[in-house]
Amino acid sequence: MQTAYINNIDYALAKNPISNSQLAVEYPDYTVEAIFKNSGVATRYAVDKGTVCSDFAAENVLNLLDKHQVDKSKIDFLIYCTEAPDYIAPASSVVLHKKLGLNNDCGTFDVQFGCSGYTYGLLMAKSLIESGMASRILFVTADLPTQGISHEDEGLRFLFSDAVSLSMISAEKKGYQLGQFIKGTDGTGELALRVENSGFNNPRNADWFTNAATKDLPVGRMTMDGTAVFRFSLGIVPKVIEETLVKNKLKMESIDLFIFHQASQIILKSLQRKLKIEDERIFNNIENVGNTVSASIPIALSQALEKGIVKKNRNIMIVGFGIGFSWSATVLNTANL
Amino acid sequence: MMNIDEFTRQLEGEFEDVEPGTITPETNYRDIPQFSSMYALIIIAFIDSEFDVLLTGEELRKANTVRDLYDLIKAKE
Repeated sequence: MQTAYINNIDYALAKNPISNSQLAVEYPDYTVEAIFKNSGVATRYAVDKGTVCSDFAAENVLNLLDKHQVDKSKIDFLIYCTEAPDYIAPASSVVLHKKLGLNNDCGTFDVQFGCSGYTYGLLMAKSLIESGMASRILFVTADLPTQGISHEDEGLRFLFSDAVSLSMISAEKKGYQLGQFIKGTDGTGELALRVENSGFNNPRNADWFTNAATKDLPVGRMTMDGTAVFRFSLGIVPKVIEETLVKNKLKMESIDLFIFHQASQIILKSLQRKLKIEDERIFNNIENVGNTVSASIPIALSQALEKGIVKKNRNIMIVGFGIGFSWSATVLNTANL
Repeated sequence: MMNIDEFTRQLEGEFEDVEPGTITPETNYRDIPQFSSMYALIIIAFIDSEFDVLLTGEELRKANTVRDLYDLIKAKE
């Protein structure tokens, strides 16, 4: 049976950096230091107001495909992970397919996950490659959480960031070999992190259009129960790591680098402490990019590679966890990097 | 489990810029000037990491003093 590899990983941040000094002007109750302490983020990035996510994705993915000299005509599957769909229907992957100018024999589908979306997308890409259903997959994540955050929710504004990632997956033995995956769901987390007034469950009503907190938002309003998400993360990630190790027949000490979804500084620090992971075996970049939702892991992988932290012949565990609640994880091996 | 004085010292260590000996078992940790919603998470993480007890937000809300927290952990351990 053939084995799936991520041949290329790259990313693009939204074009507008937002510093803590800018936010301190907007939120005079907070100093620059307090914003950093609260969020652990120094700079986050935002798209222009009114941006459609598939445009944001297409513009950046076309540049990245050129940069990596990917032959678009060979792509036979597009997986598009976003929580900012163009429509309820048709699938946003269909719209992105058109904007990227992919072939008609290229299949597509959407993955509507955030924090765990990257690892979920990889799980599906691996299944498509190893079953022979696809030979060259373009997996795109794109999210613009800043466009669903009310100006009254400063904690969320301090944390979240807009970004796009690209991963090319095939059976070509080049890049990151995808190991065995674990996955799971706990739907009791439905209300812990969600975009309110964004679907049939609770459509926008008259109050939405007059309420100062919501009237300027294009679709829905992100809400988060920070304590619930924090508890979920501390509870699930150690179990996910244990299961992923077992499934890949590895031991904790055989993992050279951990890259977690960059949820928040406090979650990352608390997990590292609980799991007793040394600083040199974990890579975090939330300080410089914020929480980019589904793009967080590929951005961290790319930046770790640029910094020489990702090396050949290593095992890297990547863990996606959050909204839903949902989680998935695997081990990447870099023998063919 | 460690005694309450040791627990109090360790909890105190979780707070930045708090003079050693400021916090006693009877201190309401929410009255510590540095306290913020972030510290509620830090306390949850400290207790989880040291005692393998993952408190809920509701349990934390009901516990006022350091002693309340200690008793809560002891009951759950």
